[in-house]
Amino acid sequence: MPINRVFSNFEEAVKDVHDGAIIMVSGFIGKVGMPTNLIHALRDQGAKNLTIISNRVGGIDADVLFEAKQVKKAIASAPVPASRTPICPFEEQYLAGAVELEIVPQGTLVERIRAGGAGLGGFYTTTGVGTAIAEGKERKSSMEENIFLNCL
Amino acid sequence: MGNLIYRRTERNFNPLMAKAATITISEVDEIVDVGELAPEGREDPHLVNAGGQFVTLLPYASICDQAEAFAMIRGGHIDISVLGALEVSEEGDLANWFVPERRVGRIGGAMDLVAGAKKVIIIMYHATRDGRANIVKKCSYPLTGKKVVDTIVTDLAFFEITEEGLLLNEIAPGFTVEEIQSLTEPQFKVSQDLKEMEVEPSF
Repeated sequence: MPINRVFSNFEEAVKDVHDGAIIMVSGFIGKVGMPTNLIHALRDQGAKNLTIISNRVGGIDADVLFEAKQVKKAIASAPVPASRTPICPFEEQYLAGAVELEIVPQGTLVERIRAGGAGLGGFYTTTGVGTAIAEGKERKSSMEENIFLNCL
Repeated sequence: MGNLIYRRTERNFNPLMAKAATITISEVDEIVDVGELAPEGREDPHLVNAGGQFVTLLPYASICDQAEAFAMIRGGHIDISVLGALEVSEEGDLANWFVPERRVGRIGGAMDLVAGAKKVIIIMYHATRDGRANIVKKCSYPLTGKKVVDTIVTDLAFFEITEEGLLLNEIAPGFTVEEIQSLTEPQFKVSQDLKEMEVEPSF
């Protein structure tokens, strides 16, 4: 079935998003490059138990999905804004244990996305070595005696 | 700034090789200046820098995506990174992404920057409002990087982190070495060439 279609409205475009879908949402720390209309259409569509992958999930547009309790997990690098007042829906739900958060350094998040799209199964990086991010991950030493992490 | 752009199929191997090489020597048609922050009222909503500030572009300006930006950072192509800190240890450990009271952290590019940049400069307040040292023997907050900090600039002093530990190079006008030491947890050495910080008035 051809999937190369142009939709005449946002509701049609998100109609087939199912419960439990994993959705990557672009944008940085504000509206730039963010699909605001599609996000709102998805909120209206009501799909539940979503996983949202985005640089930030709280205090910007994707937050409406948390407010509508449609998300079970977030994968983000700087999930919330610097200020916690007013507290954003994502942060509220995370602190209440209603939403899971996987926090990832921004470069690692970017490369996981890129590598996945480029047919690669994983990579090693020095980012996060010696920090909580490295815990439980496979390690490898190079000839320069750097220690790398494996991130899939 | 050293950004390169290519015309059409001239790129082929160029960007990849430039990114992978230790030294890149490039034959270019034109050199252009860096743009400025956008003046108030003339912000373009599509144009922000890595800090979220609205900026302007000059002709032939270079824009890259996040994967490229982090390839530059993680690949060791950035000479200096300047970051803030909650704490820095005397061995150069940095903590700046998680505050226990908030319970949700913010990493962003910090871990990549300290892993990749050739030199890391930290800018921070020397102590908390109640006089607790931010330069410590061992960080108590979760780490951003281990042994990554090269120099620290505070409102009171300028330190270098050497093989032998903290070295005080500059001191703010009106302060003594003893006062600085009383606000710094680890013992530091004092440079033979200790001098006063040059302070520009900010208001």
